[in-house]
Order: sequence, then structure tokens, then C-alpha cells
Amino acid sequence: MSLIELRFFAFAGLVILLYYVLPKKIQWCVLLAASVVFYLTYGWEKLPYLIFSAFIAYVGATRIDSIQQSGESAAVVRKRSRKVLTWCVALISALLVYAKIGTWVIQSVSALFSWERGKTMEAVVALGVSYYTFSLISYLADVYWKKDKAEYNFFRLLLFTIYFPKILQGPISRHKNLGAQLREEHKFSYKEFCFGLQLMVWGYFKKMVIADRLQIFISNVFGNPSGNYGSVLLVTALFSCVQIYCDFSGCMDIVGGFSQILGLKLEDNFERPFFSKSAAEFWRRWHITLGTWFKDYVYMPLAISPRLIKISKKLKEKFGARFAKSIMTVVPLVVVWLFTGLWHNVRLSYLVWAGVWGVIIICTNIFAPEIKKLTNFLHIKTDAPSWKAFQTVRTFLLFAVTRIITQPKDLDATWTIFGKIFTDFGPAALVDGTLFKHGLDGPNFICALVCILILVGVDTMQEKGAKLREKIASYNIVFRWAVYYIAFFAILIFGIYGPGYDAASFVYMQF
Amino acid sequence: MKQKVLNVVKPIVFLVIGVIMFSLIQQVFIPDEPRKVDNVDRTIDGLGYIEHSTVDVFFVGPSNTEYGVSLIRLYKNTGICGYSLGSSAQPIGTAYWLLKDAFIKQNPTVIFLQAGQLFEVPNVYQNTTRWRCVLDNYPLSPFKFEMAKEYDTVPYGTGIMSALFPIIQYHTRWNELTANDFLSHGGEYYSLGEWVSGAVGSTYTTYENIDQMADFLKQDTYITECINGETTTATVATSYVSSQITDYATQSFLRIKELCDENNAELVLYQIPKNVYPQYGNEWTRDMSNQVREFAQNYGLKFLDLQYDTDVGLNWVTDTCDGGTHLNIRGAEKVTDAIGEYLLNNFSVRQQSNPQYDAYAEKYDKIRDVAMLQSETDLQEYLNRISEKRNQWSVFIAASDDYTVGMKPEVYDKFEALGLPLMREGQLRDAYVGVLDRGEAKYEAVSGNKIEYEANLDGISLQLSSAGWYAGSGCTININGRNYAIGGRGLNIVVYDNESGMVIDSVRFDTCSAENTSYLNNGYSNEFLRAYEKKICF
Repeated sequence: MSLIELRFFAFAGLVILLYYVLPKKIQWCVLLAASVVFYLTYGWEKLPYLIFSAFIAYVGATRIDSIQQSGESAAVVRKRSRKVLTWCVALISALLVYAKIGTWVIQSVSALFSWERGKTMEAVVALGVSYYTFSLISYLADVYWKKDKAEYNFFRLLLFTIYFPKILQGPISRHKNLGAQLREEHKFSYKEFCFGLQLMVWGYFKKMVIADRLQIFISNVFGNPSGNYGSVLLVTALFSCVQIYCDFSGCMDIVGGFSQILGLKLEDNFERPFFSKSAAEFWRRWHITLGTWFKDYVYMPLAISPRLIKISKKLKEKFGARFAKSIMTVVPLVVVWLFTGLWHNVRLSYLVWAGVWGVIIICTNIFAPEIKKLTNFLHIKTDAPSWKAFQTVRTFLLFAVTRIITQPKDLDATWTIFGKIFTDFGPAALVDGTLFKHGLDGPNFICALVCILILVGVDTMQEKGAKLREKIASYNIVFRWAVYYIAFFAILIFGIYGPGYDAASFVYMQF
Repeated sequence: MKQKVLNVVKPIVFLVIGVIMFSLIQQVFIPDEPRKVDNVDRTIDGLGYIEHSTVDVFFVGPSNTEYGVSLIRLYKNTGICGYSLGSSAQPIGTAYWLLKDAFIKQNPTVIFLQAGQLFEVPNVYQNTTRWRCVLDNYPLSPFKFEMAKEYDTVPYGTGIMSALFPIIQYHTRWNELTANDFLSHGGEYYSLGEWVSGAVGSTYTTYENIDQMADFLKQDTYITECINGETTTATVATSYVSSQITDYATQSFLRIKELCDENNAELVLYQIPKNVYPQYGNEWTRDMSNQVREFAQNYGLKFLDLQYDTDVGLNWVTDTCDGGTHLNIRGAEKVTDAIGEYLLNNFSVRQQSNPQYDAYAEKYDKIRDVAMLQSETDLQEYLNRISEKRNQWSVFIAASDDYTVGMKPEVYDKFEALGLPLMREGQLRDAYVGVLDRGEAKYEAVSGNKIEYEANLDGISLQLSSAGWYAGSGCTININGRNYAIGGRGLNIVVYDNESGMVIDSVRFDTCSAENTSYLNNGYSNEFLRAYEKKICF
């Protein structure tokens, strides 16, 4: 069941009704039942993997908790609980690795032993495995670090793992946030209901009107890069950035809005990333929960690990403080970006993509003093609006460049696109109607541009601190309702859905 | 407390307004094609306006049912109240639902189902647009829900949700909406499901030819190829597949039969004549007729084949509007007369006087007069029809090239009787202009030079010109700035209806030729009748 299917609306409506009509004590049971039903719509065979992962986390966390409560010496506790943590994390991670490379392994081994049936066999990939695995690992680590309490009711932990709005593509929730909320009883709030609904509508607008419309154009152009001019490919790369933003953040708005209706607050996953002025800032504002997860559970443990500190000290003595500091920065970042690439996909293009981002961020860090000197030398006023605008555009273009690495079907296509942009630009294609021949006719193309302008307008207002939903709520009822109706009918009329359209899945579902 | 009530009332009001807006917007987005194709919207809506328990005979079938049966003529000739539930390329599955809807308010005695539907094979065209042209005309209701559920199971169907909420299918039309989509079209229900056509699309076939064609198509054919200068000829199997009654259609037929049995109506298989078009999978051959005869016998049904068993006196040159696929009003009247006779001879159907049908007949007759005029290919008959309506219609005539060589004295007499005696004076290759305003001759001229005439007749800005061969040939009949003359040799005639303020026909008779060959403006006829009936009905 996709979030953009009509039956999802009926399902969501029923869940909301039962959630508030039935006794508050069993609200979490309603959500658990609904989540299981939702999950089963993607195939019963995926569910055991998720339950198994949750069970490992349940056993691991309760075991760590009991070790910590055992009254033994700190060293023994640390040693025993770390052992449990390591095993549990390894087991849960193994299921993630299986999901990522299982099909490849099965088919490769089958090819090696000439097992015909196996050559086409595919591994069962649990829905949302990349997301719930990280949530469970963070839960185990937080219990280990005593930042969170162990959950002794397995079904509550299962609900945290499978909670259906977030299972498709996150956010990667922390148990201490969502788990605690799921335990509470929630009273119906008309305001939260309205605000949640508005957020959902905005999410659907971004997904169905903008992302899916642009996807038609992108698939058409990137599907045949050699047949298009560089200018068209460049426009497509820019569209591709907007498309993935609308697709992913749209989904986050939908699930965030739905959760808000239920009285739950999910973690923010986006903070208007296209206003970022540097690569590092961009990744602090894009897929926030993944970034913070890597920071909390990979970067920081590595950066403050005694072994690395020891090595750093040695390097400092031998090569100087700056070199040692650089290594302290580089090593965790290399690991983080390697994992980030692998998390997205075990594909060369994603490793290249991660490598590019990693190198940029590492270089920015290491050469920060030189960059500062250079800006001073060039008399650049770093607080001038023009410089800030330049930085924003630069970051956006950087993101567009990296989209060219991952969006086409393989790296060959990527090189073709770069080659075309630099050797066969064909600027006339931007104005001679060529752009209207790639799946979007004139009106649809203009519609896409207008909707992007609306998106930019809304994001700009939010960036300046405006709280739009509160602002709308402050207007009279006629204006408010007009806004709601316009938003709803805009999706209904301009949305990409219905017979003849293969409703595009959310991009981040594949991860 | 007040706030709590408001919190309940506000969402309800919000939803009600939303639902109303939704249904209005949805209506805008449903396109004329398929919903209004061949007036199927009027057929379905119109049935709702018929008084309960008055219709005794229903005709179900594809578009030639709509074109081929004149319900008002049937009523006027026999007193039998009938209704046509025809729709373009009607899938037999929708025939069941149309009848089911009909049985809600009516208790018919006889149901005519076109036999050709028994040969239906599931195909994209019928199961997408043609299913939809029926489905989209029903409002959201339990009835439609049931229908949509079945549509969901039909091969190539576009799903239950898009059937229930057509905007899902049609919302992409936002960039092709025109003012027309926002206008209410109202209903012109006088024709009782008939599509009146005044067009003529001649075919020179005969029943025997159709039969021979079908037999011929069954034979293997050949291919002659020239490869590198060497020519070879080989026999290849025919691509023509003889139609067989399908299990797919039989399933729907059985449901229709059961429905009729439950409602005590007798199901009759019948077939309206049509030419053979194997390339469109559109035919009615003797072989198919024999299959249906046997099929009907197996189910104890009557079978009325108006092509091979009953000669309705069809003239393939004048009685079809498109080369034999559909009949025009002339063909429809012949078929209707045969059906009327068949009904009277084989069934005890009520012969009643129905005020609603009488009222519809008044409107219908006006349309019929025009359609008969538009489809008239004989000059003398054409003048007779004008003569009958001389006080209502204005007639503008302009000759081109030559109008005299093939002209018969009796035709001159008829023109003279209409008030145009000067026409007779014309010499070889002369120009001629004649203007009749509701029976009164306003102007007439014949000349060896070009004639030009301008006038303003009761608000009509009129400009006529005529040039014989010596003056360069040509003619125009401009009414309010638009030239309606077909142009070309002979007499160009434009007929204007003063009641509706519309040009109702434009025709050319080549009176230079001995046959006085007619050249009709079929494109205009088709477009015009739909506009004209709106004027007449409202």
C-alpha cells in the first residue's frame, strides 16, 4: 500500500478513527495492528525479518539493561554489555547486509555452480530495512550508553520498529523520542488534526504535482542521454535535484502530518537544504536523521575512540599538530561517507557519489585556513548577500553534479552526460521547444515551473522564520478554507496519477 | 460548549462544500468523447425523464442501433412506445447495465438486442472508451458502484476507482479544457435515444455483394515480390478471420437473458443492415446470421435479421450516412417500419397514446424535416420539401458555370411555382441568382455577366454572386459574412430557417449534367443538426 494510493486514504482514515474512538490505553495496539496490516500489504514474507530484528534488539537491550543493573564492577559491566551490544548490532547489521547484497550473492554463487534456478532468484528484502535497522542499532547503543531505557514490552518495541508511516523511508527515529511518545496516551486535538492534514496536503503537492511530473521529464532525458543536448541534460540535472527533494521531503511531510494527527511528533528530516551555503551545511539539512545517526553512532565513537586519539598523538609528535588534527577529521569522515554510500546502494556510482561528497567535505575542513586566507586576499565580503547567494547557488549546483552520478542508470551514462554538457551544449534547445518534447508538453512544463516557484516561495518564507500554518490559521475562515480547497484541488487536477501513469514509488523507498 | 459544537459543524460544512465542488469540477473534466459520443449522455439521462411503465420496447446495441431505429416513427405508425439504448461500439457487458437501469422504472414487453454483439471479443477500444461512455454517464450511486465493480474485472478496464471517480482518469485534461467544458449542455430528449442523421454517404454495394465480399475474404490471397530484379508470386493465408460467437459475449448474453426473464420481457435478437468492413472488424455476413439463427434456436429466442431474412427496401446509395456502417434517417425509417410490422405481427404490445411521446414528436418532426431535406439527393423532391415549408424557410440560389444543359422542364415548373420564373430564361453558361424570403420572391436575375446582389432581410446580411462560364464561373452565398455555397457547376442552394435563425442546408445540384447529380454538405449536416436541435428544443 503506497502513501499515494486511494486505499491508503481510507486506511489512514480508519486508523485515525479507531485510534481516537477506542480506549486510549490501547492506542498503541491500534497502531501496532495497523502497522502490521500496512506492512503485510507489501508481502507477508518480509515481516519475519523485521520481527526477528526487533526481537534481537529487544533481547539485546533488556540483557544490557539487566547487566547494567546487576551491580557488578563497572569494568565487568562494560565488558559484558559491550559483548551483547556487539553481537546484537552484528546480527541486525547482517540482515541489512543480506538485504543489500543478498540477491547479488545468490545469483553470483548460482552462476558459479551453474544452478539455473538460482540465477534469477532474488533475496527477500524487508521493507524499510535500512531505516528500522538504524533505529534499532541506535536504540541498542543508547541503552548501552544509558541514554535510553530498555523496553521490556516486546510489542511496544515492535511498534517502534514497524510504526507504519515511517517504515517506508524514515525518518530514522530514535527510540527515546518516538518510543516514549508511542507509550503515551493521546487526546484528539482539532488544531493538531488541521495542522497535520495541512502538512500532508503540502507533502502530496510536492510528491504528486512536482516530483512525479518532473520524474517523467527526467526519465525521458536521462534514459537516453546520448540523444540529448548538454543544455537539456543540465536542465534535467537541476530538475532532478528538485524532484528528489520534493519526493523525499514530500513523503516526510505526509508521514509527519499523519503522525501529527495522531499526536506524535516525528523527527525533522529536512530543513530547506537548498538554502545551504556549504556542503557540510547541506548535509546537516538534508536527510537529517541519517546525518545525525552517522554523527552519533559512527563519527563520534570513532573521533573519540582511544585508539584514534593514541594514533593522533603519535602523528602530532612526528608531523605536527595540524596534520594530526587533519587525520582525526579525515578518518571518521572517510568511514562515514563510505557507509553513507553503501547505505544508499551497493553500486559503484553510489561509492563515487559518496567519494565526491567525502572529498569535498574533508577538503573544506582541512583547508579551511587556506580558504579563509584566499577570501581575505580576494577581498570577499563574506557577509554580503551576493556572496551568500553565490554560496547557495554553488552548493545547489554541486548537488546537481552529484545527482548526475547517481540518477542515470550507470556510470557510462554519467560520463556521457558530463561529456555532452561540456562538448555538445546546444543552448538553442532551451528556447526552440525541444524541452517540451520529453514527456512534458508546454503547459505541463510551465506547470512544473510554476509549482517549483510556489515551492521556492514557501521555503523562502519558512527560511525567514515564517510559520505558515500558524499564519494561515490566523486568517478568517473564508480565506483559510479557500487555501485548503485550492491546495486540495491543485493536487487533484495537476497531480500525476491515475490510469496511464505508473505512479512513481518514493525514491528513498529503494534504500 | 459552543466551541465544541463548532468543531463538529465546521468540518462537516467544509466537507459538504468540498464534495459539491468536487462533483462540479469532476463534471467539467469528463470529456465529450467518450461521454457524449453519439449523444449517449442524452440516451441515459433521457430515460430518466420518461414516465414510469410507459416504454414497451427497448433496443440495445452499438451505434447502428442509435442511427437505425426511429422511435418516434415507430410510435406514430404503430402506437408502440420504444426507447433506444444504443451507444457507440457498445460492449455487450454495458448492454446488461443499460437494461438493468431501464428495468428499474419500466416494464417492457420486448427487448431487442443486436445480434452482432454476440461476436464481441475483449478489446482495448471497447473496454476502455466505450465502456466508459456508458459508465461515465451514471451518477455516483450503488447502481454505479455495482457497475464499476464489474468494470474492474473487464479485460483492459481502467479500474474501479477511476470508474467511480472519473476525475482520476480525466484530470490530465486540465490543459485542454475549453469554455465548452464549463457549459451545461442540458438535455434534448425528444429523439428517445435515436441519433438522427441527415447525411448521405453512398455505397454501391448490395446484399449479395456483402455476402460475396465475405466469401472472397475467406480465401487465401497472394504476394508478388520483386527481389533483386527477380519477381516471384506466392500464396499467403488470408488475414481475415471469420467471426464466431464468443464465450465472452455469451456470458453477458446469458445475464441479459436472465434479466429479461426475471422481468417478464421477451428477448429478441435482431440485426440492422450494414456493409462489410473487415478491416474494422465491423460486419454482418450470412455466415454470422446463420450462427445467430442456430444460437437463437438453442435458447428459444426469436431472431430478426433485417439484412438477410427481411428486405426492408434499403437503398445503399441514399439510406446510409457513411458508406453502410450506419443508416441515415431514410434508412432508419425503412428499418423502423419493418420492426413495427414485426412487433405487431408477433407480439401483443400495447398501442397507446402517450402525451409525452406526442410532445417529443413535435420537436422530432422539425428535426426530421431538416434531416430529410439534407439527405435529399433528388432535385425535384428537394424542391417539393422546400415548397412544403416555403412560409418558414428562406431559399437562396446562385448558379455557377452553367445550370441549364441538364435542366428539365418540370424542374423549371417547380421553381416557377416557388416564385422564380426567370430561371427558365437562362441561356447556356449564364449566371443566375434567386432569393426567396419565406415564400416571397425578393430577387431574381439571369445574365450572361456576373450577377451580384446584396440585401438585408430581417437582420440577415445577404450577399450573393453568380458567374456563368463566360464570366469566369463561381458563386457565393454569404449570410452574415459566411459563405455557405458549396461552389461548383450548377445550382448552389442554401436554405435558411427563419424560426431558428440558422442555415439548415447547403447543397449543389449539377443541373448542367443530365442526372442533376447532387453534392451534399455532409460535414455541415452532422455538425448542424446537433446545434439546430438545441435551438428547437429550448
